[in-house]
Amino acid sequence: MVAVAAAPAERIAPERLVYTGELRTLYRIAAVNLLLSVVTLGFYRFWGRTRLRQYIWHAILLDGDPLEWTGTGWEMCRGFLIAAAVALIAYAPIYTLTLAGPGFEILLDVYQIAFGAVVLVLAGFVAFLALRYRLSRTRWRGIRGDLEGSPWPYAWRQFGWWLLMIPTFLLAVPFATVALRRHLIRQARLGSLSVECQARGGAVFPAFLVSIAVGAGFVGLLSLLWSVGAFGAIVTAVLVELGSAGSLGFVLILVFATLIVSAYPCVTSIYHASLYRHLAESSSASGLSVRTTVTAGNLFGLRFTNFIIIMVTLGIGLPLVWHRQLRFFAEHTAVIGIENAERIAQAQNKPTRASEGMLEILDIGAV
Amino acid sequence: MIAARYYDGRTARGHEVRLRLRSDLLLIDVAEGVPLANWPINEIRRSGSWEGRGPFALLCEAHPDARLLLPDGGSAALFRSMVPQLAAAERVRNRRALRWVGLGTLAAVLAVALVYEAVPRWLAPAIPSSWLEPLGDTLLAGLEEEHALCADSVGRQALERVANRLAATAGYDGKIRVDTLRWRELNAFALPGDRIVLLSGLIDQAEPDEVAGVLAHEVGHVVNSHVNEAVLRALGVQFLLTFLTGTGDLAAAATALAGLGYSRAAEKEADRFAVAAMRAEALRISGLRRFFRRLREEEGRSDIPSWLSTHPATADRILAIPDDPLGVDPFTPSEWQVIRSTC
Repeated sequence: MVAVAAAPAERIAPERLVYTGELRTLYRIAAVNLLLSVVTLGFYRFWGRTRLRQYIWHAILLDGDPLEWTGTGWEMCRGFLIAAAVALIAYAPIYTLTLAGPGFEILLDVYQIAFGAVVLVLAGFVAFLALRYRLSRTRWRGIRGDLEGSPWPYAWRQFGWWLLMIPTFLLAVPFATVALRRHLIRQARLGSLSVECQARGGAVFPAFLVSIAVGAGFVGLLSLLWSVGAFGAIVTAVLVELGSAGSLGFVLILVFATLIVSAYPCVTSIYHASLYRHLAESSSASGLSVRTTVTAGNLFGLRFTNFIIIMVTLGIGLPLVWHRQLRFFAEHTAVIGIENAERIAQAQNKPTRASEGMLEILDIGAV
Repeated sequence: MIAARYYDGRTARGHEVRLRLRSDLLLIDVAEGVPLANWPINEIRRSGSWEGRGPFALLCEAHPDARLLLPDGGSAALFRSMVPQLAAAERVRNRRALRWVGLGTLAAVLAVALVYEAVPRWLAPAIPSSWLEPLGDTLLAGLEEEHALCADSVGRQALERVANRLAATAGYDGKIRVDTLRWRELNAFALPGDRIVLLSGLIDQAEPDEVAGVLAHEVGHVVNSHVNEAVLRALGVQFLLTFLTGTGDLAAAATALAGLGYSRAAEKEADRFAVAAMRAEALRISGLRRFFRRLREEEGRSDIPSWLSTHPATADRILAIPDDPLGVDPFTPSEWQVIRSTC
């Protein structure tokens, strides 16, 4: 009976994504990277990042086989140098106008506004190129990833959505996010494998509204507690004055601080868990699909603990945070129909040469 | 004989294979004696990371898309012992990487030294002060937003006459402009573009020969290109920061320029110039000495440690100035009257 019951369960066993990384190895790599980056004025960071990615990618097993990071430090360094040179040229008029003395303030303002507009359009362009770089340097079973197509449609889409943000009072956020992610998911490739994505912004909009409502509730609760806390502090002061020191004020302040600290991860977890689930459920690729068990609750648990770790360790806990994040997403993500992966063939196009240098320049942030 | 999984690089279909070594070839067989691929040993590289456990991935430079996966740490260790070339190649790579890190560190130290010390010192005398005039104007305009300019043509003429006569003793041909700001600090400074700024606190508290001494000291910064040097240093540091971090904060550059500091060596050089120039012009030198004593008393009252201050009135600096009471007054009594009453 047991064997019969176990057999079908085994066949659809969803544990196809495993993270095998070790915390102490992450710490060792991070420590060496930090040390060498400092003594080389930061130039080691490209090789350090490469080393870290090599380790993390290799620690993620899909159906028993590791991902592979094939990017090189020099490639990233070169991309950064080119981007830095472009940035220096772009900054040159600002330098010149600053040095040119009084009377050029208006010209300086005009240039800086134009500069800002160009950066806004370029942000999407650069994000696309950076993702293309990362996918094209990622392999699984020797098959190379990629991001198809031109970066410009993505850049203009993102710019357009940004323009919509203010007139819609940010209510366009979930629609913008889903539309942009959907675009990227549809362009993503693993060899010959492409992904269909039918995600709709409307599907995550309720969760977005709930997030906002919870956020507003938090603010209301906090203001209420604040007044009570102030009241409590007065009561405590009176009690102390009378000789019986109470700790009511202290407890209230503690509750208050905990609520503040947990507000942001809690509010965003509701929306982000919904976003993650919806994107996963509405994407599929010739017999392969992703199932996730991420919920607002477990995502909040992860984020809240990570937040506390960073606050308490003043950043020294960062590798622990990475570790927990990787473990979390591996645990809560399953690839269904992995046996269909056999049909994936290597793509014939050449991998991109551009790296993610501009991303760093525009300060969008990258791992 | 080692069991492994082979991916040919054309599809993601895996092949269970057995590995054998024959002289300098790795034979990859699907079954006993049925070959799938042969990899030359010298072209085999580890692919990705490996920390002694988990799967171990290999590639061959001749077939860069194909992968060979040893499933666990045990088979990986066995393979590595069978193919010592792999570990040897890794050692060579590590040594090379270490050499590059060493070179990079050296280059970083050199870059900082060049940008901070050498380049400003070499280039500063070659830059005509007129190029930096707009910058000086901008900085002064910025200061004027907080502190009013004390405008009087007679006082200004007297101060500029003294400053330019002192500069001429060193053969300096630039025209120095002197401005006074309403600012209750016992201080003065030089700005880019042959500008000197005196603060009303100095003029209110000090004697005429002290003011002349301070003026001579600031002229010393101008004629020795210390100001140009500081500008180049600030620009260089900003350039380096822009280049290293990729974000150019020009507001920070302006702030850095506003806080032009000099090295102690530059301060001593300016002191030496002041003494020599005042002596050449037969002005009374002891004023500067008295001013430094006054400054030291002021510093004694403040909590700022002297090593943080850009104009530390150290004992050896005071002693280096001759206590020579001879010499003429720099300004006529009526000039001094005007200078003092303007602010």
